[in-house]
Amino acid sequence: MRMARRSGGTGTFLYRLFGRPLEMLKSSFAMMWRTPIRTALTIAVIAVSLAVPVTLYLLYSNATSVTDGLHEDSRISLYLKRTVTEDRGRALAESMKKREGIKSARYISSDEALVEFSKTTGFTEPIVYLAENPLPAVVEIIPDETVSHSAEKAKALLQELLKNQLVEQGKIDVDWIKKLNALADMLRTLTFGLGVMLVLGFILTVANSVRIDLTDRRDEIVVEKLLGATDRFIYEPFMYASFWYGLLGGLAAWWVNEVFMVCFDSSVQELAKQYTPDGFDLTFLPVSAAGLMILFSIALSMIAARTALGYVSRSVEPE
Amino acid sequence: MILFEEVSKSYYTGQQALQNISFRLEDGEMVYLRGRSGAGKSSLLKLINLVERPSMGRIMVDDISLGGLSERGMQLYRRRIGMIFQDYRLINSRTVYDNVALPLVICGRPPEEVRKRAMASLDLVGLLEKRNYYPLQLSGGEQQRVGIARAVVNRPRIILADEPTGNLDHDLSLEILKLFLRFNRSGVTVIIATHDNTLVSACPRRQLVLESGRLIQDIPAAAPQAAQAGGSAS
Ligand SMILES: Nc1ncnc2c1ncn2[C@@H]1O[C@H](COP(=O)(O)OP(=O)(O)OP(=O)(O)O)[C@@H](O)[C@H]1O
Ligand SMILES: [Mg+2]
Repeated sequence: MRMARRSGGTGTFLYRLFGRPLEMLKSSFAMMWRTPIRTALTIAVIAVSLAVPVTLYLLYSNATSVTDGLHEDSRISLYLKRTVTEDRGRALAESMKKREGIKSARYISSDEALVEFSKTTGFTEPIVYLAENPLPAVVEIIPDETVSHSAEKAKALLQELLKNQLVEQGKIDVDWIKKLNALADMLRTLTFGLGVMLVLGFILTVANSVRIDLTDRRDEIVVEKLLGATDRFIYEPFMYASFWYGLLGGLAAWWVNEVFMVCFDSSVQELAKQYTPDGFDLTFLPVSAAGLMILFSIALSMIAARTALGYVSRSVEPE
Repeated sequence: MILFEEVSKSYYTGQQALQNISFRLEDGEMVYLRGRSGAGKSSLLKLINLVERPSMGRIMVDDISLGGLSERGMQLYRRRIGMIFQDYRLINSRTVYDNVALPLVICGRPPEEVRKRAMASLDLVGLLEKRNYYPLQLSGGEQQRVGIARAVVNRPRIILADEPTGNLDHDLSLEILKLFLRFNRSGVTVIIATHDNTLVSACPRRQLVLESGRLIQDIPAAAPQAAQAGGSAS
């Protein structure tokens, strides 16, 4: 007799710990399945409101990694006057190497420049037909770290180099970097602003779904209250449903992000091929970050649901 | 013990449903609540189940003053009452079995116990075979019996039955009455609101007779068919 009671107690405990949550997970899933379109819409809204800021953030961090990379070997191109012979050009490059702030200098003759240009662009034909090679010879300079990390110093160096009589004009990649940086900054602000708005939309969507679910099940709730159910008992199925909303919405957001990134990757590679032969390594959303996003989604969904339940269920009373 | 002290109830529509009602029921008593349609029988039961609150007066159940119950107190209190509703109040999206098991689930009873007791309760009202049906697939009388099974499944201390035999034929009515008697014999307080004379004559008990919200007669069990006053069909 005593044994039986003890085992009954353990059974109850285990049931409360695992059995009931499992049952609730199943039954709340079934409840959502009863209104598939509404459920799908809710999940879609959650997915979009998570995927958009996360994807933007990924693009932002990719853009900053590009600009960081450019910093490393931001280069200065000095276009030589047409009258400068190849020997003098090479000599100039050699002399530049010895200057302070310069890591390396390379002379590129106008013929080499043309070959390189055709290779990277694929535009061989029209240029070959031109009677004369339009490209000037170039001395390509890679500044050392002290210079390349500072746009100011790089500019100063360029000004110095332009004083040389043989140089027609010069160009620095810093402008490019600035533009990319500005773009990245904008992406960050956009990510943040959109993120805040979309998270608000997320909360309102879940709250509204719960409100509709609850109104749908008004009769059930009234009966449960009449039989002495606690708020916790009444909230339970809706809380489990909000868990599902969060989980499925988060997973869908991951999927949307992944699909977008795969498409984006192929166009980025297309573009990158024109600059470097190895292409560009686009960073995808790491699994750990995706996991965090899904956890965030679940937590936010459940908080939103709980808040909505507190407000709405008070209006459902037996009469 | 159920004690009404000068209880009045008017709805927000201005309808005065009960006026100055006072009576006292002892533990384990069984009474009929009688009166024409609209006399206030359902209103009185709803006051005991805290579906409605009195506009004036005081209701005591055992040592609890219903007016002073907290939310939690009300939940625990309702679990000790088995209420049978005139309009059944079943959950149509759940099976008969789930409806009957609900009070036990709400109380957090372990699943084996829920199963055993829900099955036993369904057996009591003769609906064991239809446990997987949905309420709307049943006849009115069958739905009523589901409501009865749900009311008694948690072994309540008090049973409030609002027109429990309204949709049942004579034989079935007597069956249900026997069921109430069985509970009553084991100490449960039973209040049956009814206009069904056959119940009263089959099993004479104390009668509280309402008319237009007033308690006009309190007929003790010892005086069998003295009460024709508010009793005739309405
Ligand atoms: N929720 C409500 N709001 C307003 N008035 C109500 C409400 N419930 C009942 N009433 C009124 O209170 C009076 C008593 O109603 P009640 O339901 O208690 O009667 P009853 O004796 O149960 O009648 P019946 O035998 O038809 O079930 C009626 O006049 C009714 O119109
Ligand atoms: Mg009534």
